[in-house]
Amino acid sequence: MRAPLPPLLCALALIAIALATAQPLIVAAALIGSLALYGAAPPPHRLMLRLALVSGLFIAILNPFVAVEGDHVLFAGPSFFLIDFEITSEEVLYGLVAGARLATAILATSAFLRLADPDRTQALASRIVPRSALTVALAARLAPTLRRDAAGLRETLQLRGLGPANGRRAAIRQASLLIEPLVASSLERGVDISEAMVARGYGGTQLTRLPEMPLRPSEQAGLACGALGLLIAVALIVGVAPFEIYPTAGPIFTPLAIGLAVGTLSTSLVAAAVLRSSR
Amino acid sequence: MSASAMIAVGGLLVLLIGLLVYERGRGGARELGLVAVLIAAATAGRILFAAIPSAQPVTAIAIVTGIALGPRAGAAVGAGAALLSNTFLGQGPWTPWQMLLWGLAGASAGWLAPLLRRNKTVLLVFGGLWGLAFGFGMDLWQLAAFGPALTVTAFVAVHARALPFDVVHALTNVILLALAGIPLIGLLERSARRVRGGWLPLTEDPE
Amino acid sequence: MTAIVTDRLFFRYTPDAPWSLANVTLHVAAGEIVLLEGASGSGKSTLLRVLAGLAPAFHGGQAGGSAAVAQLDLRSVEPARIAQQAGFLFQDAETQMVMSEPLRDVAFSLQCHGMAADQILPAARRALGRVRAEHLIGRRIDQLSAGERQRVALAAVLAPEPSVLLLDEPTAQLDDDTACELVGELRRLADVGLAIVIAEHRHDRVGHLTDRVVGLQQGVLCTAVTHPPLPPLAACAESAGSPLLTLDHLAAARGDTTIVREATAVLGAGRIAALLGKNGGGKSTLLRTLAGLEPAAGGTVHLHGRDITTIPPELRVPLVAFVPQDPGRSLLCETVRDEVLLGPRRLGRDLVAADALLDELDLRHLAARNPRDCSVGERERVAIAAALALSPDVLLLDEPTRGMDLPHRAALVKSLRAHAARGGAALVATHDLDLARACAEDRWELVDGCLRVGVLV
Ligand SMILES: Nc1ncnc2c1ncn2[C@@H]1O[C@H](COP(=O)(O)OP(=O)(O)OP(=O)(O)O)[C@@H](O)[C@H]1O
Ligand SMILES: Nc1ncnc2c1ncn2[C@@H]1O[C@H](COP(=O)(O)OP(=O)(O)OP(=O)(O)O)[C@@H](O)[C@H]1O
Ligand SMILES: [Mg+2]
Ligand SMILES: [Mg+2]
Repeated sequence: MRAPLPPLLCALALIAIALATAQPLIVAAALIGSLALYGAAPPPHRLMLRLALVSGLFIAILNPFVAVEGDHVLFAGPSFFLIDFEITSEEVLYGLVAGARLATAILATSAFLRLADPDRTQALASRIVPRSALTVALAARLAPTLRRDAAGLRETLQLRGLGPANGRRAAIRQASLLIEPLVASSLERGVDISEAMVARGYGGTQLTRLPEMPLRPSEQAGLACGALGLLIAVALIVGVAPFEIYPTAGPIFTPLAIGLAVGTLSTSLVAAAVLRSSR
Repeated sequence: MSASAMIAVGGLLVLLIGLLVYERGRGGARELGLVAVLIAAATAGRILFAAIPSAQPVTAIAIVTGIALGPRAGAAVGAGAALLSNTFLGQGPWTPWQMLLWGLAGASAGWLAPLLRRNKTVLLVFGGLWGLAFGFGMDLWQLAAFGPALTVTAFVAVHARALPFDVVHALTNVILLALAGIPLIGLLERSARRVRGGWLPLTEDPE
Repeated sequence: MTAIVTDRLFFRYTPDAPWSLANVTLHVAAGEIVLLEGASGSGKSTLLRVLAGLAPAFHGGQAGGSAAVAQLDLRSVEPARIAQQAGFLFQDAETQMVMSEPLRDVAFSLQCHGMAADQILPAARRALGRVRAEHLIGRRIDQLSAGERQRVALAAVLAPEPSVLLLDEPTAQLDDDTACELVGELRRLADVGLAIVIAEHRHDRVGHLTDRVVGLQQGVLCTAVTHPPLPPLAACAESAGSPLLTLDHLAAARGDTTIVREATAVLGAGRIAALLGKNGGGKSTLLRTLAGLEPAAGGTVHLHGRDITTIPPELRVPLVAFVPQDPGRSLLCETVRDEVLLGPRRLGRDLVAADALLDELDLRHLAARNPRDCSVGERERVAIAAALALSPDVLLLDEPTRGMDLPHRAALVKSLRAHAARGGAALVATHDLDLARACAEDRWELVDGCLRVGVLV
C-alpha cells in the first residue's frame, strides 16, 4: 500500500484549488483531476461516484432557483415564495461551479482514503496528534471486541435454551435480558483496555515511534505533484487570477486561467498515474 | 473574506482547537479507555441504525458522556464517533463538520451538566434541540463550503428537504434519552467511580 | 536485593466488603521464583494486581499498609511507571491485548518501554519465537485459539525484559510442551536476576523449578498446603454403554477454514471422554460444532440415534449443554444464583436440584454476588453449574480447569462421575492429563485435524 502523505497532499491540493476560485476552467480541471485520482484508487468505484454525481447535480440544478443574481437573463419567470424562476446565465454557471466543487471534494477525499495504507495513516496521525489517534485506534479495536462480547452473550442465552424468540413479546423480553449485561460488559471493556495499556507500560516513558518506511520514487513524484497543486491553490487564494461570476461573469478563456487549468490538470493526471503505478 | 468562507474556515478552526484541547488533556489512560469504548458503542449503534436515515444514537451518547464525564470526554466521543463511523458509512468532506457538531453536542452537555442532570425534561428538550441543530448546522456548512450561496432562500430550499430527517433525529434523541439516558448516566458515573480507588493513609490501621 | 517488599498490605474491592488481602507481608528477592498457591478466590490475582500498581488505580477499592516493587513505592508512584519495571500477565490473556495483530501487539509493549525504533520489530519477533508463537504473526488476535492467545500475551510481557515478572496463571491454556518450555525460560530469566511471582494452580507444571511456595488463604499468607494429586479413575467400565452421541465423518470449521477434517467417534451413555490436543489443534472448534454454535462443515452428528447436525444450539439444549472456553465474560444475570437457575427456570424444572449445585460446586457463599465481581475460577464454576443445572444428557466442557485449585478440581471430577453414573456422557477438552485420567475412560485426541479415539491408560 501507499504512504499516506502523497495522496493526502494531492487530495488537499485539488479541494483547495476548487474552493479557491470560481473560474470554471480551473474548477473543471480540478474535477477531472479528482476523477483521475479516484480512478487510480483501488475499486470499488461505483458508490462514491454516484454520490458525487447526485450531490453535484443537486447543487447545480438548485442554484438558479434560489439565487437572485446575474445580468444575463436566460428565462424571465416569476418569483414567488422564495423560489425564483428568473434564470440568468450567471446563476447556471455558478451552480455548475458549486456542484463541481462538491463533487471534487467527495472524490478527492475518498481517493485519498482508498490510496493510503490505513495503518500508515494512523501512524502519521499518531505522530501529529498522538492522544486522539490512539483513542480512535482503540475505539476501532474495541468495536469488533464489543461485537464479539455481544455474540458471546447471545450464545450464552442460546446455551441456556433461550433461542431466537418466536413472537414479539418474547423477543422483547430476551432483548431486555441482554441489554444490561451488554452495557455493563462494554463499560468494563473500556476500563479494562485502559488498565491493559497502563499495565503494558503506556504513559511511563516517551512512546517510541515505529520507523516510517521511506517513500518510493513514485511516491516522491506524487508528493511533488501534490506540492505543486498546493502552490497553484495558494496562488489562487492570494488572487493571481481573480474571477467573479456575479453580477456579470468575467471572460473565461484568459491565457492565465488556461495556464492554471492546464497546470492543475497535468499535475493531477501525473499524480494519478504515479500513485496508481506504485501499487 | 465572505461570510461563507468565514463559516467554513471558522468551523475547521474550532475543530482544531478542540483537537488540541483533547491532546493536552490530562485524563490519563482511564479517560482514554472510557472514551474509546463509548466511541465504539456509538459507532456500532450508528451502523446498526444505518438503514433508517438520521435515526442514530451518536448525539444521545455524546450528550450522556458529556454529562457524566465532562465536556472534554463528551466532545471526544462525539467527534471520534463521527470519524470512526464514517470509515464504515462513507468518509467525505462532511466528516469534519459532523465531528464538529457532534463534538459540540457532547461539550455543551458537559457545560450544562448541572442543569441537565437535575431535570429530565430539560435533558429531553436539550436532546431534541440538538437533533434539529445538527441538521441545521450540516446544511449551513454545506452551503458555506460548497454553495450554491449562503442566502436565506438557498438555505430554506436545502433545509426543507432535510427537515423530515432532522425531526426523526430529534425524536430518536428524545426517545433514547428518555429510555436510557438516566440509567446510562448512572452506569457511566459508576464505572468512573470504579477507577476512583485509593490508598488509606499510613496512619490509619486497616484492622 | 529485594525486588518486592510488602508490609502489612491490605486490600478490598469496596469499602464495605471483607478484606480480599489482609496483613500480607512478603519479601521477594531478585533472582527468586515464588509460587503463589491458594484456593480459587483466595486473593492471588488481587495480590498481583496490587503489586503491579493496577489496584486500586483501576479497580477502585481501598488499600492499606505499604508496598514497593523494584524500589518504587506503590503508594506514590504512577502505575505506568511501575509497569516499566514490572511485567504483569493478566489471568485472562485476552484483556491485556491492545493491538489486533500479534507482532504489533508485542511491539506496542516495546514502544511503551522506549526501545529504539529500529530494534523493535526484530525484538518482538524474537519474543514471539521464545514462546513458539512465530507462526501466528500476521493472524488476527481475535481469531486465535485460547492457548495461542496466551502465548502472544506472554511474549508481550517477556519482550521488554522487566526486572520483576508477575504472572497470573501463565500455563492455564498452554499445552504440555509449551508450558515446559516456558517454565524453563522463566528459570533462566530468574538466574540472570529477575524476581518472578507466579500464581498458578498447576503445581505439577511449575513446582519443581520454583524456589519457594507461598500459600494464600482468604487473603492471608500462610504456609502452602500440599494436596494429594487427583487419583486416576479406578475401575474402567468395560462396556461402552448404549451410544449417546455419534460423530460420523464430522468436519468442523471456523469461517471458511476447515480445522477438523475428520472426526468419527461414539460416546456411550455413562462414559466420559477427554478431548486432548495441542494448542490450536481444534478442540474448541469441535466442541462448538457439537454444541451447534458453528455449522458442521461435513458429516453428521447423531444424538440418541437422531440426526442433530443442522439443529440450532438452543434446541439442542437441554440434551446437550456446553461450557465454552472463556465463559466468565458472557454471564447474563445480576447474581450467581440467578445465573445458575436461568436455564431450569425457563425449562420449568424443579429448582431444588439446581439450587443444590451451588453447594456441590462451592458457590453457596457467592450466591448473591454479581458474577462480574467474582474471581476467574469462581466464574468458571458458575458457568459449569449453570450447564449442569440443565441436567443434560451430554455435557461438553471446554478447558474447565482455569482458575481451579486441586480440591475444586476433585469436586468437579466427582460431579462429572455422578453425571456419568446417572447415565449421562461428557466430553472434556483439557490440557490437564491428571484431570483427564481422574475422570475419563476414553481418550479422544486431535492430531493434524483428525480425531483419534482410544482408551486412557
Ligand atoms: N472486582 C471485584 N469486586 C469485588 N470482589 C472481587 C472482585 N474481584 C475479585 N473479588 C473477590 O476477591 C477475592 C479474591 O479474588 P481473586 O480474583 O484475587 O482470587 P484468585 O485467588 O485469583 O482466584 P482464582 O484462582 O479463581 O483466579 C474473591 O473472593 C473474589 O470474589
Ligand atoms: N474465530 C476464528 N476464526 C478463524 N480461525 C480461528 C478462530 N478461532 C480459532 N481459529 C483457529 O482455529 C484453529 C483451532 O482453534 P481452536 O480454538 O479450536 O484450538 P484449540 O484446540 O481449542 O486450542 P487451545 O488449546 O489453545 O484452546 C487455530 O489455528 C485457531 O487459530
Ligand atoms: Mg485469579
Ligand atoms: Mg480451545
